[in-house]
Amino acid sequence: MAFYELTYIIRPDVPTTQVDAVANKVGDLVKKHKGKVAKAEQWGLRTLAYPIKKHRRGYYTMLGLSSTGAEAINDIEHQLKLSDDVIRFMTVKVDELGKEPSAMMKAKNRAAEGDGDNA
Amino acid sequence: MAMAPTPDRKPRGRRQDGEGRPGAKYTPKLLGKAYFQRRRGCPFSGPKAPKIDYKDVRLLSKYLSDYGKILPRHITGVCAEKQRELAQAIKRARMLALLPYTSKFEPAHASERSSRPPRDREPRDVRSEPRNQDAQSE
Repeated sequence: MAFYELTYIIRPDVPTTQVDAVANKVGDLVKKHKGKVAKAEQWGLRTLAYPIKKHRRGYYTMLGLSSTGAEAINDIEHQLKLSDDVIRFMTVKVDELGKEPSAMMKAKNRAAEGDGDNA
Repeated sequence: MAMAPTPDRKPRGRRQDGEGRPGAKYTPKLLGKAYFQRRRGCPFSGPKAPKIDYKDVRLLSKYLSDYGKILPRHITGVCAEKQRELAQAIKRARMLALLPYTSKFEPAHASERSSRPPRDREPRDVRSEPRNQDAQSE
């Protein structure tokens, strides 16, 4: 049993439905390998620190995968590589998937709350 | 005694019992608390330390220079073990374009100076530098 965190960036000039489409596709692949998507976070449209394939912004998604072997990860990464919509991805093996939202989501919520106070 | 002061003895002023004499123990009484409390431990050690994670951009960006380079330990005070972890996390964040590999640092007052950043060099001592060095290089 192993845990992985898969983060990928989708190019900004595709319809937003594509974000879910890619997530579903990855989910199907994980299921095919008898794994589970334990956690899914949409970080939304973010400005990239440097341009990737001439894009300056991108839709970030992070998925926490559990009990998938190296074979499954290879397959998923292969499919992401072939996908034209995904401009960057990274898989990291982690000891455990935290229950609470990641630092990125916390930062986002904090920003949202700040906006709410101002409005 | 009404003798003139010997040349090897300096006028003492109001100082008493040998303080300030060469060899006497010097205690910086006037430097205050701040002088002794400057050293801080590693910011990632201890019970309330934050967890190093490539997703925590706000935390990681504190350990980057203005040019986007990872700051050395002797500046940040991070312990060796955590510095390795931190470097790994920063490199992961860079790969996902969460942090820059390099970034241009342009302070407002340096706009008219040369484009080469004046860094990684000791401040040049103008007085001791021979004047004719520019002439030689030309």
